[in-house]
Amino acid sequence: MNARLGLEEYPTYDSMIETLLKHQFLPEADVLRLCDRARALISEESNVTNVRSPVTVVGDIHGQFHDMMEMFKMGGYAPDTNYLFLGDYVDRGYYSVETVTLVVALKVRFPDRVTIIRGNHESRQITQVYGFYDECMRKYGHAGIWKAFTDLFDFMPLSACIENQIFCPHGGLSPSIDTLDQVRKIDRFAEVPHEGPVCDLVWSDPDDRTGWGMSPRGAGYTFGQDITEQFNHNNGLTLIARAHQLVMEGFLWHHDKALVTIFSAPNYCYRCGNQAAIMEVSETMETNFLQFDPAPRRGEEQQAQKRCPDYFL
Amino acid sequence: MEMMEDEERREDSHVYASSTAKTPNPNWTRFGGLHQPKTSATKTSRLGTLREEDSTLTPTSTLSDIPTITNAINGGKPPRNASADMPPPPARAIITPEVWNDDGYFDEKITVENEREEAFCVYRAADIGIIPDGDGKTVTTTTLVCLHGCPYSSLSWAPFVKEFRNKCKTQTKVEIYAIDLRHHGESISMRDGGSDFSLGRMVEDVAMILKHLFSQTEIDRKCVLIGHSMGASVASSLALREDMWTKNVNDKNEISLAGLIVVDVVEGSALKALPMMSLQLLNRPTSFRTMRDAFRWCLGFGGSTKSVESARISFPSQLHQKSNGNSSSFSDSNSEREDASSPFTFRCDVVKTEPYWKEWYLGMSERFLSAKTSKALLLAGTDRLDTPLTIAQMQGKFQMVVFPNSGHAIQEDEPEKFTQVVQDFLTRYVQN
Repeated sequence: MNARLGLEEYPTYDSMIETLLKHQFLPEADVLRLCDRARALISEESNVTNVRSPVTVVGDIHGQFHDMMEMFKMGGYAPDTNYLFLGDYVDRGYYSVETVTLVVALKVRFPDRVTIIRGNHESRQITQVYGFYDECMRKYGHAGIWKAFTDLFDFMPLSACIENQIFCPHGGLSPSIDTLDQVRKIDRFAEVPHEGPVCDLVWSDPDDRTGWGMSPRGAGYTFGQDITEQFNHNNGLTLIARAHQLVMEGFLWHHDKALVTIFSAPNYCYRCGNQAAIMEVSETMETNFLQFDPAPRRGEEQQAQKRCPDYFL
Repeated sequence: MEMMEDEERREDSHVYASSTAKTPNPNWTRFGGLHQPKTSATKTSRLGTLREEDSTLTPTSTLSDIPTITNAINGGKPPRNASADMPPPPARAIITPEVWNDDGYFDEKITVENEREEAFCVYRAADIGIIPDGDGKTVTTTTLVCLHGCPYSSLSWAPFVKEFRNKCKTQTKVEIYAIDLRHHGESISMRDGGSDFSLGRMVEDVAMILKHLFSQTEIDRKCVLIGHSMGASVASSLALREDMWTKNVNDKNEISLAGLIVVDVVEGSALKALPMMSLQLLNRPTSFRTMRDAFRWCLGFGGSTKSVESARISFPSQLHQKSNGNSSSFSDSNSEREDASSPFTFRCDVVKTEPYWKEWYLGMSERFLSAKTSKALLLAGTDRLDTPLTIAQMQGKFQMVVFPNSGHAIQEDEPEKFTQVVQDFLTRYVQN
């Protein structure tokens, strides 16, 4: 199979994207075909995928499909705007299937204008707990779609680098990685492990304390400003842009502006009241943040509150 | 008691009743009236002397000693008023109870009394893990303090203790204490009228007990508090008690707080569930005619646990058996009939806890998040998080582990996975 679409395939994929943008489902066969094409495409990409500016960087989305539509309205639609998605497309929100299908379709149709990397939720284990598996079962009636996507997740690049200046993992740095070349040498084609560099790239968080610490999350590490500065210096970087943590304004600078967190799921889980943001990187590598609020709700909050545990009785 | 009339008409094997002013029976017969030899592991504490009656309360038994449920009732005679409306359970459904010091559970049962002569029952499992060379020097011990939920007892942790022993690979010495909270299990507290379930009181109780226990030996301890449901609220408050976790708290040894593990309770969703829980109280049996009925309810929908193995050790400890003719423990006019036909009642009167529910959970998320230690939240479903915890979790402030197939008592429903998570937590945050 060709990694890239032939010209004659464009109309088919254009119409898929049109369907998805209208928040309609693709037939199962189309989704499976999409996953096949995407796998062929991204398996050739480096663990540190090169991205050209200008590009707009997107943090966690977590199945909040309608909020992603708000984002496109504000940031522009692909391919007019180039996008770098930092992972966590699925789980928690109620539209993981629609969200990840659209992101993958955009990647397949516009491979040079859309970049996708892996988040900690792009994993078999996590998606079985946090909603994507259940949603696939609910919407397609069997686990085939979930399997196709989670198999695809194994091939997603671990990070991207914009013009060799802005390093973009989903989570953060790893004590077993000093250079981008070390990232490039990782054999990534597997489930996210419980420890080691791949785990750290998708799980770690920056911290106010210097040095390395055990992450309170139970996976990955925390790293201080000294670590960030050293890493940027070693690799000729100006900035680390990452997602993974909820920040109430949608973006947050850390480590004396050596690192930024971007979070793109407004009112996360339909209850957190946070703003979302995306980061525009211009041709001249200037950064600009666009904040946005959630789309008008469709009763998800009520849905979120409906299920009540029967504590202790 | 206006509910009683309605309840009287019910013909279930469970007797439904609202609050009955029970007085704890000093004759602590284990259900089935098993009187077995006193175990040598029972210990007298410095603060409190062991109660005389306890000699009959702590049976050492092996599985073969324990009669089947059928035998446990009425000395092996067929149960009176055998419930005709229930289908006979299949032969394999005969479930035999276990006791605290059966193989792999606890090593020692300790009674600690406070100044008000209220006696608390504590179970201890010791010498877990491979102890580094015994050169007589003080060894830092990882000490797990387990606090059960309402209306469970310490033995809710027994399956976890057993699994912990079997799987423990640590090079550090581990001790596990499980404390029967006020009016639960075998802790006797007559002084408060049998109805004080206030959070502050329970925190004081546990603080007193731990200070006493820790002063018995000269070892440094890294403590991890593990609380289930109501016990998690106590644990979260205790974690903030700085007098507990300062250096040299008793001038002998160093006691530090090294972790807080909360099991399946979140302030927001607990408070939201309160009205529903009040309704559920009405549908909750208060007594059982036979142990078989008790186990059947325990393992059924809405019961205590899904695990037969856990039910065997844990559920009997939630109950006590009324001695014959002791109708004083029921205040109702129909008490004699109930007494005769439903000898197994809950030790903890859940109805009396209702006024305290809000107090237990209000502000708990804040207390959990402000505890300055490694934290884990173990939940039976992702939809149980409230907003402060959702934000904090998404900011990476604590570890969250979800057990999607578990009921409320995760430590009982899935002791293997539960233990794995706790041991990983210890390896990562406590014993490194």
